[in-house]
Amino acid sequence: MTHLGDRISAFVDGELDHDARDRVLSHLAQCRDCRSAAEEQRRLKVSVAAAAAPGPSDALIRSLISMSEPGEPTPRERRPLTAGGRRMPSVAQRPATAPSGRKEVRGPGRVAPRRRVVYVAAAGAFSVSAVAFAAAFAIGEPAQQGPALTPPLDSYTYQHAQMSGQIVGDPAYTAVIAGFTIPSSIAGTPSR
Amino acid sequence: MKHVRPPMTAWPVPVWLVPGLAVLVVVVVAAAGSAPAAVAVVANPPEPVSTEQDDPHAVLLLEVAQRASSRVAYAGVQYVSAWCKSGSASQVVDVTHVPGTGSLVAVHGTPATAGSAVFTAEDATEDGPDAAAEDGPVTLLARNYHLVVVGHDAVAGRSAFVVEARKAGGAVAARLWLDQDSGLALRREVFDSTGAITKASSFVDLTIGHARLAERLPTSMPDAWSDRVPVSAVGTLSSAGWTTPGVLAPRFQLSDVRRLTTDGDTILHLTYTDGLSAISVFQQRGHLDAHRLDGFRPTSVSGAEVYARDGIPYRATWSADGVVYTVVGDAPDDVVQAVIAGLPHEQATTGVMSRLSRGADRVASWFNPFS
Repeated sequence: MTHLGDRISAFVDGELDHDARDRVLSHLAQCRDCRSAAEEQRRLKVSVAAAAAPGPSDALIRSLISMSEPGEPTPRERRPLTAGGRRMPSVAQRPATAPSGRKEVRGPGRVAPRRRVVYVAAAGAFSVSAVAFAAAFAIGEPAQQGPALTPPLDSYTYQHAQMSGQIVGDPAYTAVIAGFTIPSSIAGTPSR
Repeated sequence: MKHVRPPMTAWPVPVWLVPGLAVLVVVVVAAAGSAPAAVAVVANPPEPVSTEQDDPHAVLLLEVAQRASSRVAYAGVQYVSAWCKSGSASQVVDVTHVPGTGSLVAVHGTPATAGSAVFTAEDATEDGPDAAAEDGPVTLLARNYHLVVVGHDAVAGRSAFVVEARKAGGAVAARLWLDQDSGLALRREVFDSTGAITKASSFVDLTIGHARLAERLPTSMPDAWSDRVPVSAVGTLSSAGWTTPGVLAPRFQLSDVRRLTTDGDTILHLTYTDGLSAISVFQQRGHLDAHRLDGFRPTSVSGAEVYARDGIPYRATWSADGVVYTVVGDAPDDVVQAVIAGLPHEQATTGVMSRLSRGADRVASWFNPFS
């Protein structure tokens, strides 16, 4: 006789349709092995469903909080073990409102949520400012218009000397400031 | 350990506005820096122009000298000296001038060959840099200085009138010895604002009326700058984006405008003069490549950053707003520098704030639908 195999899990999980479930039930009525397997899986499912979901440890939570706060990190919590070995409630498990009616209990290194918002906003503003100034600095690089060129200074000097000589009427001075040299290039060559 | 927290001060504005304020700060910086890209640097207050009545005799002598410089044949030996902040230069030269042909200037005692001689051809049809210009050198002298005849003297064995060009307040800007017979200028001395001499030239030997040029002349520079623009028509150049102020620093008046077109590029040459010296302003489209400048160093002239080379003549170059400016001047250094300061310059480009301002300005322009 063929046993149910994987169909036992589907049966326990309630995933079978009406006809399939009838066939499984008929088989279970006749097969002891499959019936035992079905019962075992049902017990396992119940025990898993009853177990609490695992969560992060208190130490991990404190470390994460201290990383998001300004100032020095939250001091390590002393081992809050009693003589009986039971652990005292952690910081995260303490009530947010003290019995005396104060709004909040402030421990060292802790900040109120509102202030935390302010700090986070200020940090964000600082970041945005830094990005804005960095962008302005990068974009503000002096723009160079037109082709790069080096003026033909010898030619300019000679041309100036000629005009100066004509205007002032002193050809000797013209020759001196021109250096007695006619530049080889009249207009020079742009550095392109 | 007890942790003491500083009291938290009240935030004057909602926190969520802070990033916006940061951007606003950038925009404000942009607004502060939104002045025109090229600005004229504020120069030292210019010296006042003399308003005293000129000596008519002095004006007449200078007009005669101006005509004689081109119409009288002469040959002689002349010394030329010039001083600048970094030193001086002197030369003794042989000068020969034939009206209608040109002037030959050669280092004294050497053949008229290239490298030691310069021949300047003369256009007989022209009578000055710009025949259309309203004001010739003598008119400018008379306008800018108080001209007086101060006496007589002898130069190279010839009698001369001594004429002084004085600034407002009486300081001597130049002293000229003018030949009593021919009218030629036999000797010249030019002084700077402190009274120090900046250039001097004088004949030590001179023959008038008999001049003959050497048979073999050094090659004259081709007249590449023959495209002359009338001074009265510089408005068209200004409309095309060139900088063409009529007066600079403050006595130097625009007296000649020429263009040179090479490889499709146009170079503009403006010549300014006060009647005693000349200052050239060259302009060419582009931005300055300073790496190939020889002997020039970054210098601040009245707050303007330029590359300058002290010497005779004083030269400086820089670029602003897409134009490379080059100034060449044989006027006293302080005058040339005042001319430089009066031309367009970029705003300071090296400071962090100016760069931030420029960047924010550009970003703001991206969002301005009207820009």
